[in-house]
Amino acid sequence: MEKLKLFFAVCLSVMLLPRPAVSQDIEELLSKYTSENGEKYMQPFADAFSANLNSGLFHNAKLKKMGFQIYLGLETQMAVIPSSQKTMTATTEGDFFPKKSVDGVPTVFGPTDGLKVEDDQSGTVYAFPGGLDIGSMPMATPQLTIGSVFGTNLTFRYAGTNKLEDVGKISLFGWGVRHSVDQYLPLPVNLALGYYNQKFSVGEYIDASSSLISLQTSYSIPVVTFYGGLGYEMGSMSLSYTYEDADTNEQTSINFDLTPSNKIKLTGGFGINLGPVNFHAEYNLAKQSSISAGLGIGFGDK
Amino acid sequence: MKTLNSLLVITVIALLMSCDAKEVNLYPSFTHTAEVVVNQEGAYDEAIDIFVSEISEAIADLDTDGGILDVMIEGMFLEVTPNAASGVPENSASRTTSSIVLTDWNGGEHLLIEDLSIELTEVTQEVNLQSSLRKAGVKQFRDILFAIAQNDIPAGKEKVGVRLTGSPTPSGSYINAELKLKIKIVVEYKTDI
Repeated sequence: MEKLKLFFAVCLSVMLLPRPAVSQDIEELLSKYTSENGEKYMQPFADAFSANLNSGLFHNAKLKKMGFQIYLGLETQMAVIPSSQKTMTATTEGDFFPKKSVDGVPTVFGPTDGLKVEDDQSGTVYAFPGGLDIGSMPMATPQLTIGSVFGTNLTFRYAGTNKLEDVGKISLFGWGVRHSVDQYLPLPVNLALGYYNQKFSVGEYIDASSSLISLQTSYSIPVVTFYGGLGYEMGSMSLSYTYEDADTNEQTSINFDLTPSNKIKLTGGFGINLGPVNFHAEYNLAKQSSISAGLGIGFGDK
Repeated sequence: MKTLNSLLVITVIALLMSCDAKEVNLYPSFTHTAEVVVNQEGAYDEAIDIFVSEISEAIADLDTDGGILDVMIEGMFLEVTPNAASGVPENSASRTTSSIVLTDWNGGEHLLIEDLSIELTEVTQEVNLQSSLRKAGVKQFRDILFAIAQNDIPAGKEKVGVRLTGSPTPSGSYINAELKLKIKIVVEYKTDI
């Protein structure tokens, strides 16, 4: 049941609907993943989730030195899962002997069919479970940016529920601060430096944090703003569940500590300003790339 | 605050729109055990029954909804416990050379292990049989297990069997040991999630 809850938590994060009738199935999907294979299986999820969290955090670099600026909008993100993230090299575990290293084993985003490996000499078979056949991982977050004091503004993200059956409290909270650089330098474009930190948790099953240091630039013409950035990402994700051996009923606490792979990212995007309404879209180039689009209302924010 | 709530509602709707039913293959497993106590001097020949009902119940416990695609054997072990029988001579054999044969529905025999030398220590030990298993015998075993999973059993048949034969070293010594055969069985089935 614990594994079901972890899966439920992952599904919530991957934006899939869990279905209560398949509790036993889900337990079995995850039942073989108790060690290194488990970390490899879930690593693409950590990468995609972190890439989404660090997308859509800004859509210009123009900050007033002093004056009221506000933006409130919905940011949507989507990590497109590359084929390299759908399979992994894994090692047979458990009772299968001799151990074999196998390529093309599905990750959590991989094909739903598992991979069976037969030992030529004995005829015994080891089966690696399949994935969920997911090509992209969407996400959406409300976002508020407010400023400016001495060329500095703050950004907040928040979403959550009090308590969801089976998995507990879900919470996303993020904050960021950025400071105008072009107020000190005569530049033809706007330039700002930002730092963002976000935390996401699902009950006792997922605990993730992500940080981004970002150098941002933008250039505006009437109605349209072009923007871009160079970012350095840091993060961590901890996945926990209790594994119960079907034969012995012995319970073992399983914990996967994952570090998202993305480090350097390049952002390029544009925004359309129609009065107070702003629509923007961007592409983030990184090891796990993502696209992002947002729609909101802003005042003093172009 | 109302705006924030509205955004959350939009968010939830966006999430639900991206949900998609999936058909996945799952691989639950169970371990079937069958044991016999060898308690005699010299060569032995012991039979262990594997009842259809036991395998069927174990598979039913996996809640596979009946859509089973394959049944596999992941591993096979022999757990050896010396001096398992009381009131008889203690084990005096230092090792045994043993063969294991599968007996099918019609009494046909299929070799699983041939002349495997097993040391008889003073404590319980688990011998991994994998490196000595015969592929043809394992395939026959898989076919039988798949037939049970599919409820495609020859009329009137309730069991298959495993026969353990062997001899002690030194020759003529007394074997007093429980031999427990453990078979890790994996079932593949397809389901919607």
